[in-house]
Amino acid sequence: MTTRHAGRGRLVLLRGGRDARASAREDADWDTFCARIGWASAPEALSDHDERLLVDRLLGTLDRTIDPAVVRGVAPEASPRAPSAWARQVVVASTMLAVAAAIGLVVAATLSWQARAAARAVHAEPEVLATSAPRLRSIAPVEKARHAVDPPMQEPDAPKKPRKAPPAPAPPEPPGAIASVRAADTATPHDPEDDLRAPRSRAGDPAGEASSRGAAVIAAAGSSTATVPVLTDAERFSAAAPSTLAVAGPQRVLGVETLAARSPTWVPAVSEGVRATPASWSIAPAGERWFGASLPPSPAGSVLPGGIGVVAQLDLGKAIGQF
Amino acid sequence: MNLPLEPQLTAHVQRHARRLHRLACGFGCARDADDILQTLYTRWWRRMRDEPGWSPPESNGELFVCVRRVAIDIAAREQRDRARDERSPVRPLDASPEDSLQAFDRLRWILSRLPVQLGDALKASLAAGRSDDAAVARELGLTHAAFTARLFKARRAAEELASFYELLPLERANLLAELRYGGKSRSEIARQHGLSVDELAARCRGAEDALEKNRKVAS
Repeated sequence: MTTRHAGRGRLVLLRGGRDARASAREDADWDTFCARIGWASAPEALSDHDERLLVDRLLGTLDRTIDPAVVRGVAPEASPRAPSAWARQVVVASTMLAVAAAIGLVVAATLSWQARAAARAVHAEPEVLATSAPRLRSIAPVEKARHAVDPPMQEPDAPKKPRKAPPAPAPPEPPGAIASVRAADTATPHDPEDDLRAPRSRAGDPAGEASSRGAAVIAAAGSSTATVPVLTDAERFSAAAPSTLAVAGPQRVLGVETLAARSPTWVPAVSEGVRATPASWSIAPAGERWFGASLPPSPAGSVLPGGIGVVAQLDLGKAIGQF
Repeated sequence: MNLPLEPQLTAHVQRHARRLHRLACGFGCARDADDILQTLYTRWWRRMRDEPGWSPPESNGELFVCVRRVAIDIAAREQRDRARDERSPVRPLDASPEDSLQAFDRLRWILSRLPVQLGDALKASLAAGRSDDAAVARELGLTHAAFTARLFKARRAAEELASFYELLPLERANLLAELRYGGKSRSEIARQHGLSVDELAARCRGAEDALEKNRKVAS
């Protein structure tokens, strides 16, 4: 092919024609030779797209195969995709942290509810056991009158045990007085009849009494039927109707009914200790790595044995390291 | 000191991925070519990380050796799988992996019996492809003409070895290959095999007659 440039003719040779035919023949010979010696020709060469995919897959695999320390130490400098992988791990770790916090909240709420139920059982237990002496310091006159006119329940035939006559109710306070009940354990002075009603330790010391009652509290927290063996059928189905003031959970209904049947002058016990122990939560990072949810223990003045608390913590660094 | 490993590896992939893929396919591992490349680059990444200053191979001969090493591992694994399949009652209908294994064994046998110089030229040419003879010649330190002549000899030798491998029992094929391309004298070979020179010559004649006979039958 000739071209003319600046008035001077130049001859430019382009490859093709015979060269192309010779090259094709050589390629055929080469392919035959390769097949002869067992060398397989590539079915198709890699394209640019395949190279890019290979690099992506390769580096993605490397991100997973190398240890996390190298990923954090080397890859962020060398790999532009390393931050995205790191961010993905952070998202997964955050999700796990949120799930762990939710589980901790549920557990703490369950324990708190059980603790409150146990606290109410502590205040209800002396009322159930009260047979001779009223354990009420004061009751509301209206409530007392309502219980007095309630019809008796149907009760099965059961032998009645000779029991002591119920004591006379406490003198009514003037109208408008606060209807409150104080637990027997917190009342002073010590009632000598408690020795006959409540189980005592072998030593008979107050500490032993407290521990035995504590055990009763724990049992009541697990199941409300823990108070049932104390009562007889006659006691359970006495003249008083079940109180409609039972507003607690299902575990408390039986106890409240029993209390209402046991004492016509019964009113729902309002415990200062229970009221003064609200559910309290805290979810806060305690450090750069530790996150936790906690339920603080009961206050010192509470009737619950102190030291009941829930603490759940999650090591965020280790959680992330798992990925 | 943390070197920028990823750009270095990416650049290597851009330069040699096609060549490595072609090598993997040439060894009969077209199905596992991607796995071979991934295995190689993973090994190289670890070595680059553990040995600062080390870089992956660049020459055709080194790349050929690296891919062949991985291909040998894959072939050994396929042979184990094949042995397991033979014990099992159901055998796969596709015989292509077996063909690939036979071709790979033949290639290994031929390359192991070629003289070193001829073998290097053939390996570099197989790795680079036929369109890059000038670069292969520079890599081997040869002129283009010298490389072409050496490659021609290598091809002739490889084809002859291939005929030994195809048409003779393995013992006779080994004997003829050692006599032609072993680089040893007949007395050395006879002493190595515990034979006299006459016995070795008789065995060589018998192998050549069998080869000629089988060539006529095959043609």
